[in-house]
Amino acid sequence: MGFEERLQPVYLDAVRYARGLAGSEAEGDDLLQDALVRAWRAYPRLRDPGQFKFWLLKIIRNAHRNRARKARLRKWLSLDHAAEIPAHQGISFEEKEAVRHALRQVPRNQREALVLFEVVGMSIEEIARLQGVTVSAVKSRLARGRVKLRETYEAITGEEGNHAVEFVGAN
Amino acid sequence: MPSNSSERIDDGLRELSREVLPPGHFHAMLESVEASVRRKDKMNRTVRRSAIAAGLCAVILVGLIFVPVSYDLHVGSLVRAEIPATEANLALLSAGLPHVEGLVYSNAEHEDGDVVVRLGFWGKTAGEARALAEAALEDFKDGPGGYRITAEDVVEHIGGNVIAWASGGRIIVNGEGMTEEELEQAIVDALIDNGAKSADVNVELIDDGVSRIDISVGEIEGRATGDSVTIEIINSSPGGSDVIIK
Repeated sequence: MGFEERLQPVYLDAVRYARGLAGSEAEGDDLLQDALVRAWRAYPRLRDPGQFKFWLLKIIRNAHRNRARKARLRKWLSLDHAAEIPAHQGISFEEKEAVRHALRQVPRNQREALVLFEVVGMSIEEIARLQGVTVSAVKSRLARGRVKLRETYEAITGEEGNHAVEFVGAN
Repeated sequence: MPSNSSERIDDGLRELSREVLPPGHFHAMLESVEASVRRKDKMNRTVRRSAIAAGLCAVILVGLIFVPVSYDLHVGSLVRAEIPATEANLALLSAGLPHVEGLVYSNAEHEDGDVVVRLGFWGKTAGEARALAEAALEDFKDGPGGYRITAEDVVEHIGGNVIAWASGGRIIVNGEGMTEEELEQAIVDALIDNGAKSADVNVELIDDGVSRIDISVGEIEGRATGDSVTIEIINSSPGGSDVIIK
C-alpha cells in the first residue's frame, strides 16, 4: 500500500493533532506539511505499516519540537522577537479558537497529552507509548494541562470561572 | 450556553475533536508536500551549504568535571546584508546562494525596499564571516546601490557543569533513523559503556544535519578533572548515519 492510501484514513486525526499543537489552523497545516515531507521520505523505511498512525503522530510531534527549538535559536540570534503570544484580553473568540489559542501557552508535554486525549481521542496507554512515559505520568500531565489551559483560557477571554480542580483521564 | 470557563473549554475541545476539513484539503496538502519535496531536492542541488549538505557539524564544548563553570562561548557570527530589492537582485536571490563555508542559517526578508539577508556562521569570527558573506554576495556588489553589510560575533553564556568527554579516542553511535530522544539515549548508553557513572545528554536539532549536543557527565573512571575535549557530531539528525564523539 502506498503512502497516500495509508495516510488518507488517519489524515483527519493528523490535522487535528498538528493544529492542536501549533495553536492555529494555518500554523497547524504548515506543521503538518513539514511532517508529511519527512514522513513521505521516511515511509520506505517504515518497518510495521500497521503502526502508520502512531508513526505519523510521532513525526508530527518531533517536527513540532524541532520547530520550537528553531524558533528559540532564531530568537537567540536576535532574528525573531515575535514569538511571544500576543495578548487578546477581552477579545471575543469562538470557543474552539479560544481553546486552541489557549493551548499554545500550555507546556508542551501537557499540551501534547491534552490534544491527543481530548481532540484526537487516543487512550492514555497509547499516549504513554507515544510520549515514552508511564500511564500515571500521562494522567498527571492531563490534569496539570487542564488547569493550565483554564488559566490561559481565562486570561485570553477575560473570563473568570469555576476554579475547582478537575480530575482528567480517570480511565 | 455554557456557564463557566470549564464548560466553555469542554465545548471548545469537543468542537476541535469534531472539526471537519473542507473538500480537497487532503489532495491540496499532498500536492504541496510533493512540491515541497521537489523544491527541497532542487535546493539541495543548487545551494551547497557545506555544514548542512555534508551533514557535518562540529560542536566544541570545553569544561571542567565536577567544577561548575561559567564562561562565554563564541559560537559563531551573524552577517546582515541589505540588498536593494531590484528585479535583478531578486532574480539572483531566488537562484540561491553559492557554496558558503560554515553557513548554518540563512534567511531573507523584505524590509523598507531592501531584501535583508541574514547569514549565521558557526565557529567563525565576525571578520571571517563577513569575508565569506562578501564572497557569496559578490554578484550584488555591482548592482544599482550595491549593498550594505554588517557582521557581529555571537557569544553564548554557558553556565553550570558543561562538559564534553570521550574515552579511548572515539565512541561511535549509530544514529540512523533515530529521533532526537533516541539519539540522546544512545549517546548516554555509549558514555556509560565507556566508563561514565552517569550522563545527561540533550540533542537539539538546529537545522537539517546540524545539531547541538550538550553533555553533562557526573563522574568518569580514569579521567582527570580539567581535561579539555572536542566533540564532533556527524550526520546526527534523525535519519542520519553516525555520531562520532572524539
